Amino acid sequence: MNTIHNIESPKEKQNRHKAMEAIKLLNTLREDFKAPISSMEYFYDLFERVHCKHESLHDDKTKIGTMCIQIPSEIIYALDGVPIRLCNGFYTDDEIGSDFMPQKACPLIKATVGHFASGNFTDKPDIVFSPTTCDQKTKAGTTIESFGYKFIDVDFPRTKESEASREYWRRSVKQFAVELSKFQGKKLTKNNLRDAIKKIGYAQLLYHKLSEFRKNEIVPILGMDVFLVTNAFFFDKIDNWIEATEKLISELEIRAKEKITVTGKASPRIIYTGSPPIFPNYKIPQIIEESDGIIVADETCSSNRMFNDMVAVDEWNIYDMMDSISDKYLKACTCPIFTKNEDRIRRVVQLAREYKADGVIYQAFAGCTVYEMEQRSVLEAMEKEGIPILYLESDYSPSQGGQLSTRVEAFIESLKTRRRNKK
Amino acid sequence: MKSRIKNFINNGDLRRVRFWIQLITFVLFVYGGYLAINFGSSFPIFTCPYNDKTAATCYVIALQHQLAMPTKVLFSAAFISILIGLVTFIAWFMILNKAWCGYMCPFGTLQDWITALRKKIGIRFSIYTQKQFDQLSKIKYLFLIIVLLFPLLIGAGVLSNNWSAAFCQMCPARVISPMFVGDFSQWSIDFSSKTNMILTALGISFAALFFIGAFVKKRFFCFFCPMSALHYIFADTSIIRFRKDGSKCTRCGDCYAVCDMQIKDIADDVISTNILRDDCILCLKCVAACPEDDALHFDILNIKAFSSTREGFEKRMNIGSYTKNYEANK
Amino acid sequence: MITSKKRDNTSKKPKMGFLNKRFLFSLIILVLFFIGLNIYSGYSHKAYGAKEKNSQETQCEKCQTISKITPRTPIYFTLSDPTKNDKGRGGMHSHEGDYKNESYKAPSKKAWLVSGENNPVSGLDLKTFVFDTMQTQKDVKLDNKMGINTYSFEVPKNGYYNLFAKSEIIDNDTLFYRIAKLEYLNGKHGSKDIYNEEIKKEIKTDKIKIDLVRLKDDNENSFFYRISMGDALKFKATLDGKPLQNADLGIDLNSGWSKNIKTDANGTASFVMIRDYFPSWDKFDKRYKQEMLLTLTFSEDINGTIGDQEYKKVNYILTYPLSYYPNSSDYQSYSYGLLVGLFVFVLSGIVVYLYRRRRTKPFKEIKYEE
Repeated sequence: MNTIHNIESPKEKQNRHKAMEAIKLLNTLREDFKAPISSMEYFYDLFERVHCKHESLHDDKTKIGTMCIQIPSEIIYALDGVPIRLCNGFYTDDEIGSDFMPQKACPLIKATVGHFASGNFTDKPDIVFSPTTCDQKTKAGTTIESFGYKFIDVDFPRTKESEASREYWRRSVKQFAVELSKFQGKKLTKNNLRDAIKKIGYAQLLYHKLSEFRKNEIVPILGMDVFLVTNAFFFDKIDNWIEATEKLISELEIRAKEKITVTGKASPRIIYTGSPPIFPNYKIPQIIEESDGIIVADETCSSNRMFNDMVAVDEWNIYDMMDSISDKYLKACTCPIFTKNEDRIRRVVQLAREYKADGVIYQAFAGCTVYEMEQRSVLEAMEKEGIPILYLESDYSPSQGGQLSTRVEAFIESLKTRRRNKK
Repeated sequence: MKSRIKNFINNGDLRRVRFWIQLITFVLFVYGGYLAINFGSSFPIFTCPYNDKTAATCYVIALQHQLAMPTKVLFSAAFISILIGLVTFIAWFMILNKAWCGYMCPFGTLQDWITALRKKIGIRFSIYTQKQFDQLSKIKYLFLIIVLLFPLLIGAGVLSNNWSAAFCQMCPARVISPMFVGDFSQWSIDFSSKTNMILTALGISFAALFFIGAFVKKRFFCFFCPMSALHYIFADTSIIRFRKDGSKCTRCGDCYAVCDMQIKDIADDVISTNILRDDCILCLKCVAACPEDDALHFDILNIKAFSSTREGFEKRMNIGSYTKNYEANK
Repeated sequence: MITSKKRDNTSKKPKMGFLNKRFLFSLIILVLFFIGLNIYSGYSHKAYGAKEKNSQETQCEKCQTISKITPRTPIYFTLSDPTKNDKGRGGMHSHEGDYKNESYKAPSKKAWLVSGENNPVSGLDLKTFVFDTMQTQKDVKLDNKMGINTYSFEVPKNGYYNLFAKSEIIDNDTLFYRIAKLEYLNGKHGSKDIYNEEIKKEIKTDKIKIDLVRLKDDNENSFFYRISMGDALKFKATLDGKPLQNADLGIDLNSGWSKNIKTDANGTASFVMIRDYFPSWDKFDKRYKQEMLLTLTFSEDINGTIGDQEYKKVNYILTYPLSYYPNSSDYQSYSYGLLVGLFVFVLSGIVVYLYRRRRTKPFKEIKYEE
């Protein structure tokens, strides 16, 4: 008997495992919830193509990898590059990365490092820019550099109130623009920058339109679907993304008119805040929505924070556009890496009011110092406002499911009871 | 219908509205004398009477002349004239609050035109550091003291008559406003006494400094204007209020970035509702640049006349115009 | 925690808010104080009568009685009170006269008839007329204070007011026809009157036989015009409405300078104001007022009667006082002004440019001075 054993190379194994994770989630989204949206098929298809079929999207352009939300995408588009956000959500990569990182490190960083270590990219970044935000990202830089990638640190201030930090970041962004333009061999022109600002502004406009639907009493779209849409922005061609989102919005209009809902009658409305849920790590959102909750808004850097604030320019010349871009990425940012977090708390409170939320779920990755430390002040603020809040810690491993789902279900039940009692 | 009007106003192109209002008021106030238009001498903007054809007279000059009466006379029924002047001033001021500065003042309009010239050339503007801002913002109060105190000292006999209208002798508007009708006679130094010499020399220096300053800094002179300080004292009497809803503010700083006067409080102060500061010229650029709904609003008699909206922001930043290109390239 | 409940004026006051409130408060206190003071002083005025200066109690010492004045002595108007000892401020804006009127009637101007060195004249038989800005005749109000006549006329509008006093005395077959003329340009700030050609028109009247009119230049276009040293002045003399030629025009400046010219065939005479004010630089007063008196004399042989007296000759004397000030070109300088302006412009331009260029240098560190 002849059995041909094909022993998988590590790369193939990784691909297979990642594909399994991806498809599992996508199928859940496609089948397990009621009233699936047909326009979402573009996004499911996109993730399938990239993670399962390993299709590369950006063969024709330089891929500029970014490690965090603060690198201005407008400048990258103006210099004819494609920004690829490299934050990773795969448990497979997490396991690979744990060889290089301490045991108690943030799973997101571990996954990112693991991805770099394996070198297995469909769209491999030609250069990586990393702002010095949280400790772990900052330190992971040298590790990633040792794998042979071109890695540039971008100075990011840890305070945002002072004039010094504003000037510091402006200088940093200009430095970044100079480095990138040297790398690309292109010059930054007024028209390119203006078009890039307007394009990204348009994408943000679409996101806001999308969010408007979630303010309705009858919510026509799942929180997870919106997370998927915003995650797609990390790496998709922007024109395709814009087109698909426009289609999605028109379908949602119809659904809103016909009052098609994806939730139960009395589903508690949840604000999701904390460490970003990155595809396919939608563990907590999945638990929430499977337990009859509905995420109506979020305050995370993979979703709301990217799209919430638009750039306002006074004089459409390069000097003022650069300054306005820098201001937007610093002053409006509600990342917990800053010393004071009043803006983040005000944002969550404002979201709770606008979207008429019943409760807030605060999720921090185990090992994420900044989110864990902010938990206390956020909890206090929510208590003062009278908004119920649940604090969870999780990581990427698939085993935690049981304990978390119990807590989430209990929380959602308590929200339902609260609602009934109010009536 | 009401919401349609509201939307039309809130989404309007502020720049164009402002341009036309400023142009019309500039022509009206600077050249109105040709048509014998006269709004009186208690006007709350820098419409200098040294320009023969002015349509109104700046209250600062009238105030200085009135306060310069001999002290004995000041204490008599003559004081009624000062009171009448003051009440007229407040009556005019009340209508528009500090928007007189942002929309009506021809001197301010001149600075905006110099700024537009700089924008066209493509030269970057300068800003004050926070320390410079804090130190320089006291100067307008110094000028206001000169306007109010020195005439009283003349009336009391402490200062000679050469100090009459001391601020006007130092004011760059006196030197520059007559130029609009072709009168360059104010570009001279009055040597009749040491006081006059120094004051008129200061006036000419300030006028020259004005041109340089207005070129590199947006609304350079407005930062030092005593009329602005005078306005701020009476700001609460006006029917117009400038308010902020702190809960809607994300502190994104867009308003601070576009503000000509560099007022940081608009962005950072989320507790006060009355956000009108002493430097503000109520140009409403901040309201136009705010991307949150209803965070900043301009109220007339407690009705929101112009408030910030996301839709308006998108229209004004021309984010929609991108879509036209996009449609074409699809 | 920042919870954003709506509060309407704030625990954390805006930067200058406290100043704002305090200013307003002190302003209101000041206003109330002044109103209170006025009510008090108004009351004390009514109850106790106006408190006037003692100097006016005694009889006028300088007054000359009619016996000392011959018919040939020129008498002229003056706007400054001859009974007052001090010269007073030669300023343009005399506020004092106007506010003596407690009631809010139309403002009026007072004039006195004097002769020689500002000595008041009284007891003459005079007819007085005044013509307002539209060349219509109005009434002259006659007051008598301690034997001195004051002639006052209302000046409600801005413009030229012409005051005449006519005296006809026959002495030894000669009629002395004396006219004292005063042309007063009223200029009040804040008035709505516009300076136009109407105001410059000549007066046509049959009440006065002889007249001397100052011909106004085209560039006199304001109510605040004042004659300056170095100006060329033109005058026209008329008799019975017709140009008077070959009349003597005497010009006397109060600094002592005098000149005599004759009118030409058209009745016009012109001369240039001399400069005679040359103080040291720091004593220069640009509002230094000087007076001059023009005297027009003419005689003709005409027979006639007034009342029951006959005369065979007529002697016309017309006096016309004017005041003049230093010329602005004596103390204003364009060249220095433009020089200063250019210097500051260039200097500040360079400073600003260098300051902005400095930005491209490396980050300026905080220095510790030892």
